[in-house]
Amino acid sequence: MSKTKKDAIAIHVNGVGKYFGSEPNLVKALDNVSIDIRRNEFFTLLGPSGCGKTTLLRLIAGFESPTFGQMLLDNQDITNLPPYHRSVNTVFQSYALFPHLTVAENISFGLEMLKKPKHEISATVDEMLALVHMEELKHRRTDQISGGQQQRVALARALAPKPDVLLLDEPLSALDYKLRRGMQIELKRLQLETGITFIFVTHDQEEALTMSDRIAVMSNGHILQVGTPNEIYYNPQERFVADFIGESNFIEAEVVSVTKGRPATASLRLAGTRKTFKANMPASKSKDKTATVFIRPEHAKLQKSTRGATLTGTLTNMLFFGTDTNYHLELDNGEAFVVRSQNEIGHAFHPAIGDKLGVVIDEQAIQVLKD
Amino acid sequence: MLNRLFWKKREFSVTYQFGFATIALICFFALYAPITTLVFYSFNAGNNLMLWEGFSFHWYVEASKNELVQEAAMRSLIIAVCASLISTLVATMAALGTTRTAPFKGQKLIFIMINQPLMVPEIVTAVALLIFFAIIKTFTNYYGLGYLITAHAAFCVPFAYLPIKARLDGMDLSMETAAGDLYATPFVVFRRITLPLLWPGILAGAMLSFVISLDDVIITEFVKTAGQDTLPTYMLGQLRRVITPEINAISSVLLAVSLVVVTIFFLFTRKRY
Repeated sequence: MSKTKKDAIAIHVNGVGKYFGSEPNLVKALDNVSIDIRRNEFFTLLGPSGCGKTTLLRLIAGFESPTFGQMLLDNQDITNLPPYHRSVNTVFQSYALFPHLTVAENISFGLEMLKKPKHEISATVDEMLALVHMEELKHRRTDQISGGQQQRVALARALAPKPDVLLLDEPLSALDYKLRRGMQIELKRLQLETGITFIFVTHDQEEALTMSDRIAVMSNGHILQVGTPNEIYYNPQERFVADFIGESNFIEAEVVSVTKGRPATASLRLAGTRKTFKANMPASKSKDKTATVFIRPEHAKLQKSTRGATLTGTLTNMLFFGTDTNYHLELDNGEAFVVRSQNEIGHAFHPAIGDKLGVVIDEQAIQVLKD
Repeated sequence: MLNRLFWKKREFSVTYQFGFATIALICFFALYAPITTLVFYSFNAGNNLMLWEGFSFHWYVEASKNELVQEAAMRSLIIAVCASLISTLVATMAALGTTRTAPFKGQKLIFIMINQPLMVPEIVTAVALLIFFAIIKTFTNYYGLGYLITAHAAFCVPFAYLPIKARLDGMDLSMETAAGDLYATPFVVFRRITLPLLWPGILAGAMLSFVISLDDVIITEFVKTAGQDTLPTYMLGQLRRVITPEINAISSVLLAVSLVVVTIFFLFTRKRY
């Protein structure tokens, strides 16, 4: 794919909504969602179950038609196109392999439907089998292979017709942890090798962060924030996003003063402490007297002495994660706060539960949320 | 003591209860002892149903030479084949209509209506058909096998419907969705995915309705016109006269046919999916 095309829009979703049922049991699975997904992008729809991510995927695939709104694929209106006329293929959560066909027959199904010549079909099938490392199992039936292998066949089957867009509906959720980590790397490799736009649906934030070029965080039928994994992780705009991705501390802060500008900055006092911090202030909050401030647990540092600390509190719990440990504190004002720090060999700092400890927070780690 | 047959001790299992094996054996005995006796005496050389006079295929030969039996058997087969084909076709369409469409109002009602014939006493259906067909006969002057075939096809529909619907219910809709996603039009999806996967269910439905039609007595007895005996009604007629082991021989053949049908069905549907 040429460089000029790289930033072209593959999928354009314009004010799309999907309602199920009717009043009074109307369910707004998707409500006025707009999004642009670029060509050759690994795009993830992330959110808890029931947030509308799968509905959006099914709309793009054409399995359902939107209640209102418009969808374009490469500038072509596909809103009311049936799925068999869209150059979009899906990897299903349940894989949905055809049990009466062999691995090779499953992969060739889409190509046969597109009426490709025989030699081309067999060449593509071999190519796909090689791509997902399944050459030896070509003539097996799909119930004679393992879950991980079925996953690969489902991928190969969806990739074989070389669609413009590949949709993946939580394809890794049925795999165990090790296999899932392997497939994450595999998927990323496949996306780079094929140059196909991937739209990946998941509720697993870790999966989303490791694989995606961009992530759309969804909740309640709305898209809350779209951005790179970095932006989503470091600059969540709303509490839901901050809370859903990674671990977060939310602290009430007093707004001492606001300096106008673009963006406006505020002088804040955290949780009843005296020291003030400067942070960017969302425009919608510029008149408020208090604000919710968000701090990632790994952006705070724990220290033995309370002197010079931003916050002080009592250690209530410690959770060991191998690489890191989470220290749960009860701050002096009663709020809970978590500090995550990396475990090091020969670490001299071994606090005990009940110890009075200090937390040091860098000014840059403090962020004011919109809500 | 019989419980020791189940020597594999399980932590919790209903089969590991006092008297379970005994009850099971009694049930099997009650089911199969009469049939065994019937088959056994079909090989009786004498013409008594209870007195064993030596082994012989005499009654099988006798039955096969009997023109009335030949005709009745042929008629039974024609009716059973036609009725099972018609009812399976109708049942397949009904099953698709009640499982592969978006939920609609009255779906439950249709489901109940399809299965209602199973609940209606057969004698009621028989009388109703007798009267209904009598009216048609006076108008059309048609007295052929069509009435029997129609009647059999009608009461076989629910029997064919149930295994087909069960199969469809167990079939994940996502496979058809996936085929559509892979550029198959709805008709091709049906031909390439739905039908092959549904096949064991259709076969089961057809076999079941075939067997049900083959041994039906009550409705046939009411609907048939003179000279339209099927094997079961012929046998019933014979019982009113002289009973010879010929009846046993015919019954044994019927039993064998049923067993063959069931075996064929088993072999065909033993697929691993």
